[in-house]
Amino acid sequence: MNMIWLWGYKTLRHNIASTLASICGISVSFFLALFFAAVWSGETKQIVAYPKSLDADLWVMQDGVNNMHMASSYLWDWKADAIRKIKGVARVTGFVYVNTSVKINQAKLFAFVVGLETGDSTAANVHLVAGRKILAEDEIILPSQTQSLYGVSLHDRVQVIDQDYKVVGFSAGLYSSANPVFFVLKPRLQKSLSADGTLSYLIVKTGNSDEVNQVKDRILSNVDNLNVLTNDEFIENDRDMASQMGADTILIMMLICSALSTILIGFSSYSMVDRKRKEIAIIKAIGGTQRLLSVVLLVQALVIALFGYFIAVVLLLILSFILPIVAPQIILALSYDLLVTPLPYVLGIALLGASYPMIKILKLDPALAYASN
Amino acid sequence: MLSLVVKQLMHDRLFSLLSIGALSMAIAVLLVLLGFEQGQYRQLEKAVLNRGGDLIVVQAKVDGFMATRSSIPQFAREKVESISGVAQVHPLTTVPAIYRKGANQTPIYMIVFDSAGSVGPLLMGDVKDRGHFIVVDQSLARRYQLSVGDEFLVSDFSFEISAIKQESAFMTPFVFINYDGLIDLFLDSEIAPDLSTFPLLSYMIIDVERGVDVDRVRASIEQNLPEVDVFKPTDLAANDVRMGEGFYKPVLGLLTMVGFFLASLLAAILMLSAVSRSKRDFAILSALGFPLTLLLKYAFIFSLVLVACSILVGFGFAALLISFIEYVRPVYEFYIVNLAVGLRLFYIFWLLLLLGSCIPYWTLRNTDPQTAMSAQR
Repeated sequence: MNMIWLWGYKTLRHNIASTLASICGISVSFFLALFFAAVWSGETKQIVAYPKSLDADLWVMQDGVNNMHMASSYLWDWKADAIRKIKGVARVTGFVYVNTSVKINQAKLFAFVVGLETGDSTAANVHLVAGRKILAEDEIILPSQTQSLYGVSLHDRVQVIDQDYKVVGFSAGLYSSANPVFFVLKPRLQKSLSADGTLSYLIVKTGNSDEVNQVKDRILSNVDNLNVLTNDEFIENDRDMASQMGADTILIMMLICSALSTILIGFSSYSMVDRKRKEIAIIKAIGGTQRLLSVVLLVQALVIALFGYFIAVVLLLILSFILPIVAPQIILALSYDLLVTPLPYVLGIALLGASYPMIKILKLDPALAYASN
Repeated sequence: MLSLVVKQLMHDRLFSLLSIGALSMAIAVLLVLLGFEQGQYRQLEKAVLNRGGDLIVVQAKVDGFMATRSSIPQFAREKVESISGVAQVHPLTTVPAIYRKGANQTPIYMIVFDSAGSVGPLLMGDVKDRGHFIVVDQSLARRYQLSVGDEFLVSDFSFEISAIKQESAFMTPFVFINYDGLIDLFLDSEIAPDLSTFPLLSYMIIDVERGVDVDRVRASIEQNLPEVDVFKPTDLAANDVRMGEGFYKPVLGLLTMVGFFLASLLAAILMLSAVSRSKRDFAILSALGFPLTLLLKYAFIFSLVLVACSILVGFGFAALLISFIEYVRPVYEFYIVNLAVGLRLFYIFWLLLLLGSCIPYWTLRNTDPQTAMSAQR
């Protein structure tokens, strides 16, 4: 029995080029799928980065609206004053939020623009890596990555909708391809949108964090036509929508790459069985059981698949260090779930890929061992 | 030589099928990625061109249709209508929103139309230009199992689905409502202090009188209304495509690069494996006096057949995958039969062919004719 395991090990080592080539092919294939999933996960993380940074107790928005990303919400600004008077409310901060394209130098990018009431509003609770807070209506804060991506510097001009703004600061942690967040003061933004007197969202801080749900009920019963969500509910809605948008695409990529990996494992196992069929026949002739031979073949396939997967994970980890330097617009989010959840599928792929070569082993006639050369 | 290659491939059919299967799958991945990228640009382009008209009026300094905001003063319509050469003006408003049903939610792009610029070919139902009716994109209908006559809630305001069509862009399905619906939606939602502050006019689509120079009308509108800019639909569409390129290219470019690396690696592995399996055949040919150049020619033709077959099969795989994805999620459009993809496929073909032909060089060069006399296995 040990001899057959040893034979299995030596077969892999003897055909090291073929084994390595298969591992490489499988690793690139898994890498493609994992990379795609990690990018989407990174975007999802960034989508909730801004609302998370605000540390609100409650979010108030237009009735029928439940989240922020890609949504439009309009609220009368007097509703903020009405909410301020409600018992248990410590602070209400309103802001305008709009998704639009922004022109930086000659480039145009899809962005989310936050219109603040004042430069030191709690809705601008961001870490500035350069520059200062907004003091005037024609000033803007950009995500820091725009410096390297678009060559923009402090005091440069950028255009949001129809208005020009002067860059006065760069923020950290609020950039991704699908969700870069820019800050301006609200009057100009409202003018661009022809939406004077309106806000998009209100963030509410309660005096006592144990009373959040009671305050939520009070707001809902005292002010009409708005929706109130707790911070967790609001962020979860945004995260959920981003995940839903990417789930299908990730699944499709996973399926394509899994099919490719299955073919590669099948190719590798079949080649091995075909090359070593005389040796396999000899093993069978001297009493090696079909079950053990099949198990050895399956373990070989598993080793190749797992090594391939492991290399894909290592490549992804390396890339996660390189990308912020070479392509800061791509945000990778690697998590235990993302890297470990596919493992059972990897095992399934190995089993599927090795299935036909296993059938070939079962059908192999031990008499072949005695056939002439 | 070609017949020898074909015979070799036919001799070990399963090996050949697996080789072509693996390489074609990698090529299919590449084609799906390239097709997805081109499909996104095409959707962005169509989002503008499908609105029709000879010219499109936007808010001054705004130069796009998708993923942007444009708000034109309502009096501008009357002024534009009075300009010589303008046959008709059709207002258009766009509002991004989120559609929610049960636990699922999808961002939607709401296009509000009046007399034109709207819907185009429908998959089912009719367009109603009055009342609380809505035309929804097929992807929404499929995902949420909606049909004509069903209720469609936007910000808790109820619309009735009057038709289903296929139009989306920027991974966002479109829905179409008329101005009756928009005003009632705004009033019902109580979202602004008064009607004058509603963003009721985002764009105007202009039909120019027959025989009148479009550029002259354009210049005339811009001169008379400094609060707007005017674009030909093709120019506006090109701006949106440029914005889309900035959005999609970094990620898809990297994915395509990895896909290409995968295909190259596979081509190398498969050629090495094929040559290694045929070592004895090469030794026989060598023993019979065939020169190295002929063996290399064999490798080239083998690689040519392998890559050509894989590209053809890969195209088939890609078409199947794309049909499946477009059926399951019609919000994505894939566009693989176009010049950009064709050109890249052409480069990929030659690069894989070159790689596949060069990789076996050392094995072939070191082929020992004596191997021909050794045991077969």
